[in-house]
Amino acid sequence: MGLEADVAISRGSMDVRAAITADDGTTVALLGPNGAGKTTVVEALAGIASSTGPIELDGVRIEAFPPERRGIGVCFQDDLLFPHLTVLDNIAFGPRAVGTDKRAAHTTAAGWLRRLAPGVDPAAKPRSLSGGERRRVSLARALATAPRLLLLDEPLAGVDVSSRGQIRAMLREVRAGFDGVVILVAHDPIDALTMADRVVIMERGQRVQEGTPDEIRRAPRSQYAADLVGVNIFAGTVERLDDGAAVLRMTTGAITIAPGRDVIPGTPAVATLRPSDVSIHLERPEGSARNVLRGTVEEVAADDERARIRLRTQPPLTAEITAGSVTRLGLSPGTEVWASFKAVEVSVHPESAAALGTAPGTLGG
Amino acid sequence: MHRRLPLGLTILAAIGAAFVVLPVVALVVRAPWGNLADSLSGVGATTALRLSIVVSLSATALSLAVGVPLALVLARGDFPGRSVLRAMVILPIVLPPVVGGVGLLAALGRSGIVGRWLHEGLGIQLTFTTWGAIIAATFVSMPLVILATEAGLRSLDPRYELAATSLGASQLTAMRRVVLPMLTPQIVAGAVLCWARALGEFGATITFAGNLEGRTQTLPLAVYQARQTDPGGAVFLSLILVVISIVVLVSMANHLTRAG
Amino acid sequence: MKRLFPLLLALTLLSGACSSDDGGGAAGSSTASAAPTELTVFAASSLTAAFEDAIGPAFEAANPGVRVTFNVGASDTLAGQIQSEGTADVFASASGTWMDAVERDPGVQDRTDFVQNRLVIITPPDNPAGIQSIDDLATPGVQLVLAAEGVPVGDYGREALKNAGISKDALANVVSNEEDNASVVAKITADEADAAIVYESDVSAAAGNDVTAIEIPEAINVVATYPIAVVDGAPNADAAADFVAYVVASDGQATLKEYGFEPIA
Repeated sequence: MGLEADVAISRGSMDVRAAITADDGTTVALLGPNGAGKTTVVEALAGIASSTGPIELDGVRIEAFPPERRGIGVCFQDDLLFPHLTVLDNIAFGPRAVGTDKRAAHTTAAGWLRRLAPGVDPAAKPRSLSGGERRRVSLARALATAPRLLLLDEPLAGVDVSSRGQIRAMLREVRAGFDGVVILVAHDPIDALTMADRVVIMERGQRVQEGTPDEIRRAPRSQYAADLVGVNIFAGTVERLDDGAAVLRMTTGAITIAPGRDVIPGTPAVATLRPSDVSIHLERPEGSARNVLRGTVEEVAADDERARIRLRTQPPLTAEITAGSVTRLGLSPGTEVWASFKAVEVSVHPESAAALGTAPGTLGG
Repeated sequence: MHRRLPLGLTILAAIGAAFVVLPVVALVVRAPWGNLADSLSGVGATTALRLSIVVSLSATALSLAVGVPLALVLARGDFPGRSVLRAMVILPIVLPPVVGGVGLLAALGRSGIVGRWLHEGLGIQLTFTTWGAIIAATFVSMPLVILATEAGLRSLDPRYELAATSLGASQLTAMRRVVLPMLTPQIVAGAVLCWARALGEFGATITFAGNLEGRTQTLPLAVYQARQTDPGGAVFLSLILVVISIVVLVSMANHLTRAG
Repeated sequence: MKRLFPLLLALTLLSGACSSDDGGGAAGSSTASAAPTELTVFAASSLTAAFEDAIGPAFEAANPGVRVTFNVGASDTLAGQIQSEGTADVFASASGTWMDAVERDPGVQDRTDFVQNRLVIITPPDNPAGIQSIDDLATPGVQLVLAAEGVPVGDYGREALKNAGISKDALANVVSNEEDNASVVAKITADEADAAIVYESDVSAAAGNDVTAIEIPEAINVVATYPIAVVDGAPNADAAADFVAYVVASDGQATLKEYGFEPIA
C-alpha cells in the first residue's frame, strides 16, 4: 500500500508543494538546498504544519487527522528527547501514551534500545548522551510506536563526523527491517543516494525532479541535481603505502588520499570528490597532484558555460570544466586524456563494513 | 578571581537592602519582649496563625488547580477575545485589593449577581466565612500562578508537545506528561509567590469576608485590629508573619532563582 | 531606555515628596499670595458627613485664610495616630475614652463635650431577617455586624446588648467586627448582613444612607458623648481654638442637629 500524498503548504514568503508516492518498504529522500521546503513537507506529513491536499497512508486518508492519529513516527533534527524522562521512559512514551501498560511498554522499549543503542544506559537522562546516542534513542522512540510512516529530518545533523558511519549503518539496518514507508530529509547527497530508493529534489518549494538515484544521475534537470549526482563517490578500503601515503583501493581502481586521523589502514571508507576539482590534460601533467589517471572521454555534456565530462578511468571519474576548455582541448568521446586531482581534495568519510550495502565503486557519474 | 563591583552599584544596592531590611529589624527592636505571652494570647495569635495557614495554603491550591489550566489555555488556545481575557485575569495584581473585595461582593455577596442565587437557591453564603477569605485570597494571588506558568510556557520549545503528539499522545496527555513536568520549576516558583501574596492579603479579605476571630481574622487582619488595642501585640503578630515568610522564602530561594 | 530610567525615578520621587498627605479633605494647590492656614481636624467616622459637607465649608467661609482638612476614622485609630505622629490640630472623638488617652499624651486644651449620639439598629431596606426590636438580634441565624471592640460605636453597641440582656446570644450572631463606623454602615447598605448597631446620626436624612432603622428603647440605649479639644502642640493652635469654639457655638450646633446629633443634655 504505502503513501500517496500531494501536499501544499503556504509558508509566508513561499508556497511549498510536493507530490510523493512510495510503496511500503521503500525509502524516499527529500533533497534540496537550504530553504527548499523539505522540512516543511515533512511537517505537513506529520500533521505539525497545516496543509491542503490529500495524504493517503495505507489506503486511509489522514490529512484531516491530528498528529496523534496519523500512525507516524518522527525523528527530529534536534531529537527533542524529553529531558525529564530517562532514556527508557522516552522510548516507552509512545506505547504508554496509547494505553499500553507500563511493563509491556518498558519491555518493548528495552527491546528497541538493545537493538539500536546497545551501549546506552536505560536509566540515563538525555542530557548525558552524545549526539549520536541521542539520535539512536530518538529513532528507537519513533519506532517503538510501530508507525506506518517514518519521517527522518536530517538524521545525520549534529552527529560528529566519526559517528556518522555508525549512524548510517544503523539507518540502513532499520530500513531493511521496516515494512512501512520511510521519508528522509537529507542535506548531504551521499545519504540520499546511498540510502534511498527514490529521490525527490526540491527547490524553492517545488518538486523539480523525482526518480531513482540512477534516473536522476542520467538526466539531472537542474543545476542542483546535476551537482548532486555529478559528485564523484568512491567506496573502498584504506591502505598505507611504503612511502607513508594513503590509498583508497576499490575494485575499480585506487586513488591517493591525504593521511588523516580518520584514515586507518585496513578499514573501509567512502570518499567524495567534486567534479570541479578534476583537471583534464592532453599530456601527462607534472606537478604536485598525487592522483594522475589515464583514460578516455566517455561522454561530454556541455551547455554554454560549463561541461561535465565522464571519463573512463580507473576508477571512473566525472570532471567539470568550462565549455571553452572543451573546445580548446578538442574533447569528444574517445579522446585520450590525463585526469588529475590532489589527494587533499578528496573528502574521506569513514564507514563501518556493513555500511557498504551496494557494490563498492563510484556511485555517481 | 572576584572583581570588586563598581562603587555606585554597591551604594544603590546597599540603599535597597537597607530599605527592605530596616523595617524588619525595627520590628524586632521595638517588640516588647517582656509581654510576649500575654500579648500573644490577648490578640488571638494562635487562632489567627492557624487561620492564615489554612487560608493561604487553600488559596494556593485553588490557584494552582484553576490557574495552571487557565494559563495553558491562554497560551495554547486560539479564540476571539483571548488577549482581553488574559489582561483581565492579570488585573487583580494591579487593582487595589479593596477594589477587588468590592468586586467580589458585587459578584458573590448575598445580593451579588451570582451570590444571589447561591444564597436563595442553594442556601450558600460566602461572605463572613472562611471560604470567603479563601476566595478573596485566591482572587488576588492567582494571577501570580498564571504569570509564572505563562512565562514558563513561553520559554518552553513548543515542539516538545509536537513530538509527544507525533508519538501518539493526545493533547491532554502531552500536557500532562510532557509540558507540565517540564514546567514544574516555574509553576512551583509561581506557587510560592502566590502563597506569599495570599498570606499577606488584607483589603479584599476584610471587605468581602469580614473580620471575625477564628473564622476570617487572618494574621494581617489581626495585626490591623491589634494596633489600637495592643500595639505590642501587633508587633508580635507582624513578626510571626515575617518569620514564616522568611523561612519559606529562604528555603525556596534556590528553587526560585533556578526557575527564574 | 537606559537614560530614561533615572529621569523617571527622579520624577517619581519628586512628585511623591511634593504631594501633601493629610489623609482626607480636598487637596488643592496653594496660591502664590499669603499661604492659607491649614487646619487639620481628626474626627470620628460618624462625624464625616456633618463636618466635611457642612461645618468645614461654613467655617472656611467665616474664616477666610483658613483651610480645613479632615482626617476621619475610628476614634481609637485616630488617638493612636495623634500619639505617634502628632500632626492634629483638633480632635473630635466619639467617646471620652479616647479623648482621655490623648489628654494623657500629648495633652489637650479647651476640652468640651459638644454633641451626643444615640444608637439605632439598622437593616437593609427590605429587612431580610425581619428585625423588629433589639431582642430579635438574639435570634439564632441573624447575621449581625458590629464595630470592633475599642472602636467607640463597637463598645457602645456591646453595652446596649448588655443592657438588653442578650449579650451571649447576640454576640454569637456577630459575623464581622469592622474597623470603623463607616464600614459597618457599608455592610448594611450593600445588603451583606442582616443588622448592625450604629448611630442615630447615620440614619438621619442628611446622612443619606439607604437603610431601615429600628429604635432601641430609651432605657436600654446608650448615650454617646462626643468630646472635642485642641491638641497640645498643635501647629495652628489659634485656628484650632476658633474651630472648637465654632462647633460648640449655635451655628455649629444647629448644623449638627440637622445631621442627627443631639445637643449635650
